[in-house]
Amino acid sequence: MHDIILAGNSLTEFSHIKSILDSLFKIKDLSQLKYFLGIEVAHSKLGISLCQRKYCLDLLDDTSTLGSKPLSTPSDSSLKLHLDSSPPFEDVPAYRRLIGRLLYLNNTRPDITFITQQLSQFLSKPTQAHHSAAFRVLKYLKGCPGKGLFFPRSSSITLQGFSYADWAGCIDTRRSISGQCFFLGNSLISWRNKKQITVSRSSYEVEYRALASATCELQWLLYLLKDLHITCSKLPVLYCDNQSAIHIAANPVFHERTKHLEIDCHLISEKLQSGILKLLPVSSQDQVADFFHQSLAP
Amino acid sequence: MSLHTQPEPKTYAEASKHDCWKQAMQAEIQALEKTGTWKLVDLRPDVKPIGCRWIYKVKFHVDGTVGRYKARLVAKGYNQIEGLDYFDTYYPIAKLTTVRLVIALSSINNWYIHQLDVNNTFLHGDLQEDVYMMIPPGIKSIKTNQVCKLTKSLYGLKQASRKWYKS
Repeated sequence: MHDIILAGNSLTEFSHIKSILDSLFKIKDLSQLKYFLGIEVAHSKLGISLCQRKYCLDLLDDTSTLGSKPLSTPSDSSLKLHLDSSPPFEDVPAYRRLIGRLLYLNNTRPDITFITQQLSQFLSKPTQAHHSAAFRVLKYLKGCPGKGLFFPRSSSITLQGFSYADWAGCIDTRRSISGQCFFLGNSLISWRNKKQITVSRSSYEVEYRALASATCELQWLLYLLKDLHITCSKLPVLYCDNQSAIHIAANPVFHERTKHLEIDCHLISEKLQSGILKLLPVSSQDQVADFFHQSLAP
Repeated sequence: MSLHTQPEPKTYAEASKHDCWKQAMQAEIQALEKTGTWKLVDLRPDVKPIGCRWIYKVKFHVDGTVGRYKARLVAKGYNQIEGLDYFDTYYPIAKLTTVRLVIALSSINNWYIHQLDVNNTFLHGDLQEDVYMMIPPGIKSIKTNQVCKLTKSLYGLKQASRKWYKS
């Protein structure tokens, strides 16, 4: 809102823009980008790294967890969060505030995306179990407050996306959770983990739905690159580990079995035919988006 | 390294005991007067002015040292009435994905990345609506029973962010 980032290859152009802006508003030139919206930016020969170390430490300080014993994973992989019958957590606003701050940490921390999505399902009625799961995240953060993203300099300009779905992943509603992530070259720039809004009876349907929402995000990123006059060196690729979903997307004829899929899901085959992206299978081992569906194993 | 031991003051009375906060308020008042944020007018009996208050914040550097003392005057926008005091409040902001994409691109292309900060962002928008505000503590008025008629947008107003976008 108050901050402006300039990126480009010409410093003369920079000073030109700065003088125009300065004549309209009073601006302060902070020179090289270092600290922006609570995100610390470090530049090196190899690349640029982003982290929210200070934000993270402030969060630990405010929740009095700075002195706690660090844990190596953000969540307990044997525990599946649900609407359990443990006693309700009394201070609901405090729980919501905590999740809100974890959500903001998600800007540079894909490692807590899975658990943040899990915890945010219970904002209206958190229980003691949810609260202690949230505190476990803090203990994990304590061990690595400065972890963040790294954007290497040696990288091509290509877009790669991964799509994944956890069929009936929510045990309270049996709705599925879709996940997606996108890389510009070797840099992770966008990721998301979201519960689908409908219940699906078949696993290919949820994969197909996840694929459709990944396609929307990919299309958005392509528009953004186009606006910035950046051309990708290769056709964008979307990886999906479900063969049936790929077949439905590739097959322009909808048959009996796919009749129930809503029309908006079929936007993926439309985009495929217009040739803006390529859809490729990926083995489950190489599935990156999977990362957003599992508790991290130590 | 300057050590900051006192908590941030909550009220004007508390803050006005300390020089650092008095200076900070003075700087804010000067900025407000320079942009002509309001005119002092007599209070009409049919007008109900909105309140205002000072917010005090110590800004720290990344290393934990005190950066500066910041005092900001905000209007109590929650008393505003839609259709009378304000109309539209929509304001676009950049998605963090966009920021990450631009930084990743800069890394690949070895671009320079610079940062600019707009001082007193919200004070740049003109206000068409008639909004009256009580005179903030710290500003002396010659006559009694006067209020501020806002001519520029102020932090806290419902339409503040939109006015900056439009300006």
